[in-house]
Amino acid sequence: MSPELTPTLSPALLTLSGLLSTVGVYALAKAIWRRTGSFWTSPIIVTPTVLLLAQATLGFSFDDYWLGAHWLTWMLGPATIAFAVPVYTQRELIRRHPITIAAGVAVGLVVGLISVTAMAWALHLPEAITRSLMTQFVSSPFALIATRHFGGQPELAVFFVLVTGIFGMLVGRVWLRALGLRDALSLGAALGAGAHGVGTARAYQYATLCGALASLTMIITGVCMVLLSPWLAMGVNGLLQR
Amino acid sequence: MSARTWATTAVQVLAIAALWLACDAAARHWALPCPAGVLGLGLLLVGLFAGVLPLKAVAAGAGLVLGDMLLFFVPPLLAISKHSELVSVLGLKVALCMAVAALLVMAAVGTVVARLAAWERQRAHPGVSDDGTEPPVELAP
Repeated sequence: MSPELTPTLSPALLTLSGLLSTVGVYALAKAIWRRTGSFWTSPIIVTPTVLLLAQATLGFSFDDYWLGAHWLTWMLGPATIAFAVPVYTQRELIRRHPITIAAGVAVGLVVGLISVTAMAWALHLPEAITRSLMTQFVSSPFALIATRHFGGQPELAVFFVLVTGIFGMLVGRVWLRALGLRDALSLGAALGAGAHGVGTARAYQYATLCGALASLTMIITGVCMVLLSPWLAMGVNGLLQR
Repeated sequence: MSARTWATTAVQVLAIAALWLACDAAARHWALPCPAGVLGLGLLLVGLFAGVLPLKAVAAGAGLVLGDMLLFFVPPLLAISKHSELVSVLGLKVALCMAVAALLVMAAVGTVVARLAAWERQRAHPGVSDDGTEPPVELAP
């Protein structure tokens, strides 16, 4: 390879390495998880952990990594569109329980925003973190759009979404049972509103109806959050400036 | 999965991505208040409900994109290493804030949905004690 070729070649290689390392680790994590089946070896835990460890030990810069990996994140846009399919296939559930679903979404959004704001205020959390927490209850493609309006930072917003999802998935059922709620619909709506994608996957393991409502609640909550975020952000701004 | 199924799925994913690009261009051009993803979601739903688009024309592609969504949000997640301030008491406070808020949201949504679902079943089948045709699904312990 002639030396003058290196500058033109290396950005391309760099771009590919970020993309391929992410896909590779994810594919490997998925293959391992298919064999073990335990939550703690699922790709949602293993992929970020392995890549973060690699980043810490190999010391590659995030900017170099992002050069290629941002094409994966670009796919979150089209992924939002794909949510139309589960909504359509569960249209019968919407027809049967329109008010229940709408109320679940509205209650989830309002209680989520108020409790995060109140807790952040009580714990004196820094403003950058508080703003990034506002979207913790919506699925990541929606959170990444909405967090711009709230003035949050994308990486914090996505991280909080993921942690919230895992927490809700782990405690959701026990918590609702402690409150005397045992039916599939209330658990499904609670998991969809409080633990989005991670909770929805778990809800499908409990019962199909439970998963279907979790999925609908998650999607409709995400759409409402994105559409209302400019106005919700104004309200949050008002509260934060007190 | 056969090569044919792979090809169909890939074409569907590309079509969904193309729809997003078209929606993004439209949203910019007319300065719509609605982001491209939500606009496309709405259009696709209209297409499916109107019967213009058969479900099987998008189902496999949508399934792939949604099933592997984790792959798409891992890259921004890695920037969390910039936030070493979270490895401290602050991190614990943030965790407490998230956990309490999550418990409150799940409790509120679960309670409201349990009440309303019972009422909605009653309304659909008046006279039948809570429900004759559609009993609330109790989960196994």
